[in-house]
Amino acid sequence: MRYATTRAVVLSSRPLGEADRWLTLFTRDQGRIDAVVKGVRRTTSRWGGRLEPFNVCDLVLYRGRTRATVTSAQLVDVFRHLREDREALTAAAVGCEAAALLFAEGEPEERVFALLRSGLREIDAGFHGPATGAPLVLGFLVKLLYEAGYLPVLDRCASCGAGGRALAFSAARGGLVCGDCLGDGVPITPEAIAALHAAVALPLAELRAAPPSAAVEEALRDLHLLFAYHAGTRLRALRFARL
Amino acid sequence: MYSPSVDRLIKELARLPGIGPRSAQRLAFHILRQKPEQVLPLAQAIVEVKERIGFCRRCFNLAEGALCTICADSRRDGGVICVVEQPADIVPVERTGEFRGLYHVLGGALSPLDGVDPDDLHINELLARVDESVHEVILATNPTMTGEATAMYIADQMPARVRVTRLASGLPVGGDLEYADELTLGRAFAGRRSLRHEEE
Ligand SMILES: [Zn+2]
Ligand SMILES: [Zn+2]
Repeated sequence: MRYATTRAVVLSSRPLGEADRWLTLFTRDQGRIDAVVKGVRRTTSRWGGRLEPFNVCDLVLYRGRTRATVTSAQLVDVFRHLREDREALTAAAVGCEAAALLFAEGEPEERVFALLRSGLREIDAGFHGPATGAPLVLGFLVKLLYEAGYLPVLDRCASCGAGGRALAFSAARGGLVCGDCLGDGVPITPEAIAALHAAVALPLAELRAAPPSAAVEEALRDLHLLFAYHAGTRLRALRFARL
Repeated sequence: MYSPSVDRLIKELARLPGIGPRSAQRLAFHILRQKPEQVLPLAQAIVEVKERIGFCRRCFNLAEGALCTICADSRRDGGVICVVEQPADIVPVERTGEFRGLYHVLGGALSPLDGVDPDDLHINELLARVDESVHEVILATNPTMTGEATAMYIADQMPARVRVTRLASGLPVGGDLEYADELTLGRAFAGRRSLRHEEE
C-alpha cells in the first residue's frame, strides 16, 4: 500500500522550496513521520490552516521511495486558544519538540500519540504561565520521557540504590542521587523533588490546575538535563522560554 | 564525479533553496552548454548584488546605500509602519497600491519550535522607531503559528497611544466556503465586519 490513512499531530513545519512545507508528524499508527506538503504556502492553497503545527488531522499519506507526501487532510482538533497565548504556545512547543526528538521515525507509538493529543488539549483548556514554571509542562515532558523509557529514578539513589535522602540530580545516572554519590549531580531542593513526583503521579488535567512555582522551574531545569542527555540535544522551545 | 570545477558548480547550485542535487546537475550542464556571454552576466549580477546591496539602516529592507528606496522617498507617510517578516513580503503589499506608509522588516518570525526569540529579530529597532510621529503600526506577519506569535508579542510591547492593527485573515477571494478549514473560517467569523454603517 503506497497510500496510508492515519490520524496525526503536526509537530512542526518548515518552509521547503518555493511554496511547500516539510512537516514532522506524529501519527497514531506509524509513530513519527516526516512528510512534504505541496503548495501549502500559497495563499490560494486548498490546505488553508489545516496543517499548522499543533493541529490534529486525519491524513492520507503517499509513501514515495524517498519521502512521504500528504495528499489530503481533514481537521480533527484545532487548539485555538493555545495559539493566542505566548506561554501556552511555548508549552505546546516543548511537548511537540520533545516528541519529535525522543521517538525514531516509523515506530508505532499509539500511547505517545494519545499523550500528545491530551497534552495539547490541556494546554488549550486554559494555561497558567509562565511555561517554565508550569506543572503541566513538567508533567508533559516527564510523561514523554517515560514513554521513551527514560523515566527519572525518584524513589531511591539512581547510583547506589540506597533509600536515604536525595541531595542532587544526575542526568548521566538517570535521576536523584544520595549524599554519598553526588559526583556530577546538581543540588536539588526537596520542593523540586516533590514537583517531579507530582509530575509523574498526577494526570495532566490535575497538573494544569496547579499554580506555577520556582520549584517546578528548578525541576524542569533538571529534567531538561536528563532529556538532553538522552536526546543528544537541548530543546529549542526551552531556550526560547529562557529556561 | 566530473572535473573538480564542475563538481564545485553543482555543489554550489545545490545549496540554493529548492534546488536538489538532480536539478543542480541539470542547471550546471545547461550553464556548460551556453556561450560565455550568455551566462557570465549571471555571475556578474551575483557579484554586483553582494557588493552593492545591504540592508536599510532604518527598516531592514534591501537597500543600495544607507536607506532603501521606500525610506528615502519623502512622499511616503512616516506616521504608519507596516511590519513584515521578510523583504520579499514588501513587494505584494506595494503591488496593492493601498499602502503609502513605511515598512519594518523583522527578518523572520518568533518560533518556539525553532528557538527564534525576540533578540534574533529586529524588534528592538522597531520599538525604537515608534516615536511621537507614528500613529499606527500594521502587523503584516504571516497568518501562521509563528507569524501570529510574533504579532501578539509586538502588540504587547507597543505604546498605548499607537493604533496597532493586524491584516484581516479569512476566506480567500474567489474561493468556496465549502472548502474552508475550521481555523480559517473561525478567523473569518472573528474578523467579520458590518456591511452597513454602525456606530464605532
Ligand atoms: Zn547513592
Ligand atoms: Zn528602509
